[in-house]
Amino acid sequence: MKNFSIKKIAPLLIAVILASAFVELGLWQLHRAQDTQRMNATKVDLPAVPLLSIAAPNQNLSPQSINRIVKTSGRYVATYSAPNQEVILADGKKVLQTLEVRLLNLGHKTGLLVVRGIESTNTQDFVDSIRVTGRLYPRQSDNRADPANGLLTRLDPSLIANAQGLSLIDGYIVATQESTEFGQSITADRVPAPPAKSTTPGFYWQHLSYVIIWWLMALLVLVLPFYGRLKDRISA
Amino acid sequence: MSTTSSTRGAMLRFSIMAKLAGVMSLLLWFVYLPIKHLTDNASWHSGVIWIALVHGFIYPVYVLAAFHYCLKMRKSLTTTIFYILAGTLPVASFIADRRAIAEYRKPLD
Repeated sequence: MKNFSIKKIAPLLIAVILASAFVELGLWQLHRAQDTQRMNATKVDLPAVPLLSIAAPNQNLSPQSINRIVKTSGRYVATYSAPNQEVILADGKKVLQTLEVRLLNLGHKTGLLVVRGIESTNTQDFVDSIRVTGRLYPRQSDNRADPANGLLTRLDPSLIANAQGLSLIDGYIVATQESTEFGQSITADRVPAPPAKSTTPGFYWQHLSYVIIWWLMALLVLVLPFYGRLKDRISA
Repeated sequence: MSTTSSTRGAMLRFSIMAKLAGVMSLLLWFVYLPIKHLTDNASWHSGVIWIALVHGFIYPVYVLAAFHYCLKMRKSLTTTIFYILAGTLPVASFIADRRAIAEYRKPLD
């Protein structure tokens, strides 16, 4: 009697465990689909928030923090060039430009990549602390140039990991405004900072198809313990 | 008569879906996945995203067709699982399709 019960319950138990795992995988894909949709939705910009309230060093940016307008302050400690970066002009045209990127030391051994604007021949030197406001973007994954000294092949803090002994915030910001600690505005050849959108179309539907697959698998796994009975019924 | 025709219908549905899933699996494994994981080119990835998308929606239909066919043909649980998983591997669904057609024709020969 005891053996009979275990034999009967074990497949059911395994089916329930597997089905739960498949349901969870489906939910994970559903959340990824929702994140993609949220990222591509047209949103009104929320008020600027302190950078460190939505991002931390050595952690992936959360989907909610991407595209937020942030403010922070620190000292510039290194300068880089980022060639072949696509800039969208006011009339919608796209042009490739070399951008001036600086590493901002935020204090507490934390650093952040800041795109100041289009690179100019007159490099500005900053000694004092700078206040920066800008939009937070996810790191780039495709190289735009061949590696060279002082050059960023893409806007990705992992390329300069541990530079200046700093732990870096994921992603980068495109500065829309800079000022000294006394409030004096700093000019630069700024680039527009529109909200980032997913460059790969169809991601939303791809994730949704995986949701359907995982949940269908969960349903099938729950049906499998009764497969024999179902077979008899259908073929009858 | 109706049982035979419904079994034939299940076999036909499975056969069509196996061929579709097989073609999409080949494209997925030998075009989409190498471009996504071995190249660093976002525009190429955008150009082939439809493969993953179409395969993603074809596979659930294939699974339902395979499950129904296996029930109709009174297949064992192990064979049913093989038929279901065959849709994810290149060539495997073509093998399953050939096997299904051969098994269906067998009693008629």
